[in-house]
Amino acid sequence: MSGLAFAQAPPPSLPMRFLATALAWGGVAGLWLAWHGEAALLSRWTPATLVLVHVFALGLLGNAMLGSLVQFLPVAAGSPLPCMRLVPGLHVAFNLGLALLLATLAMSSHALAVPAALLLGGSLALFAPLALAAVVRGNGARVVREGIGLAALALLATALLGLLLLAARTGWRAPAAPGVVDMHAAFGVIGWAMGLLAAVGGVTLPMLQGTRAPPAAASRAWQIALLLTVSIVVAARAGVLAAEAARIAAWPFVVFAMAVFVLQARAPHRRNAKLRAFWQAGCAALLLAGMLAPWPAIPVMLTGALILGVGLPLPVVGMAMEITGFLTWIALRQRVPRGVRVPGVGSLFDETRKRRAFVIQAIAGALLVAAVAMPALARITGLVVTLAYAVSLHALLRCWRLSMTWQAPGPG
Amino acid sequence: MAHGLTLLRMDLRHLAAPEPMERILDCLRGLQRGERLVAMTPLFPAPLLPILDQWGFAYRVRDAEAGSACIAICHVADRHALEPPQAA
Repeated sequence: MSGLAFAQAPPPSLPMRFLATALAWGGVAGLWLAWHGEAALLSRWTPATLVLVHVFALGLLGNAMLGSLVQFLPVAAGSPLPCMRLVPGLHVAFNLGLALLLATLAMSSHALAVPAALLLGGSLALFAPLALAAVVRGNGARVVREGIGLAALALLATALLGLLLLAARTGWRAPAAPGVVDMHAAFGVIGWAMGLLAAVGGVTLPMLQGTRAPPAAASRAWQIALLLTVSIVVAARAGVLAAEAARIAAWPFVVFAMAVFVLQARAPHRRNAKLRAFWQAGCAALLLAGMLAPWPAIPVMLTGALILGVGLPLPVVGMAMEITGFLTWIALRQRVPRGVRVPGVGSLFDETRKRRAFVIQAIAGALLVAAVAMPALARITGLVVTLAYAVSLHALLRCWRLSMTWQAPGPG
Repeated sequence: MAHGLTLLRMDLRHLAAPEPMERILDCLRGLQRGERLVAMTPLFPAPLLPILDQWGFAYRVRDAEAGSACIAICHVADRHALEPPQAA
């Protein structure tokens, strides 16, 4: 396969821009919460809450997951994203579309909905088939490729239902049936986010945390069960099954968290303590959400905050820091001449900054969950969330800057 | 011819990313004309390939079991003799 090189690997700056944008959106989520306070946490249907949910889901998680795919597909699927030259444009379209979507949701704007739908829907409608093409033509482990492929299909379904809801909300078509919002959420959170996190985690947990690889049969069973779960939720919300059947949606969070805890506990080569801590804290939130969700008395805002505000972001932020060290090293290795020894990856990302970011992220997550129960805490929580993402982004950019500024020590 | 090249072997499948890449690049500093490095990596070494191009090495990559890969590397001048690497 000699000569495939530049077609196989994206330039490190490409995934990097997604990761930096993701953390910047995390800061926006905090600022939004600080500005709107209690209104953003009282009900899932207020414009302030809808904006907050989409900043977390698309701004933070969406950017991080799309960026990770750009970097990860060549390695895990053995095939890069086709048409890599389109990716910078997709990044701009996705984020511009998201900004317009947020404005649309905040103001219920009829006019802004069209460019928002075109940019956001268009970028996802292009990105997901490109990812699917990569996994179909790739030759990496089949179970990983299938996991990523299923997640990409769920992303398409999420985007389609999201466009339908946006059109209904802004008066472009008749109001959507009440269950469509839950279908949109099930495809997005269970199918796309959990599906992708598990598929990618199956490779990155052994690679970065020294765990054993999950058995292929278990990964395949997980994928089938995830598919069935989303189908049952959709059927329940469409009225085909009893509404109570939708409670099954809680199990993937419990199983995923338990699997991560078991893999970490039995890791033969335990490494990367900070990354492990990010995953442990995130999985604790997912476990709690999964255990609470089936109880009708538990407010959906609480499980939503545990999943979208804490459980999914923490592993993603931890991974973003880990990948940044790696991307910085690659960029540095490409920049400096062949004979010059560059610092190891471990020394490029300051461990103290990682620890600081973890501590403040964990505090912000705990406050976010507390603020759902005590909305008076909302504004101060928003400020702490902003600070957490500002600290994380600063650490990320400081590491990345080394790829441009690092100089080999002079002789003597 | 390939079997005329001195063979260096490394099994890096147990190492955490990006240590396999670091080890391979360290080893390449001392790779002489007429030598060939064959390394087993835990995953397809996509990020390594642009660096090998830049450094003037030729390579062949073959997928191995469980998502791992086998890469054979030599100087560009020896590329005509680069045979598909054997995983065993």
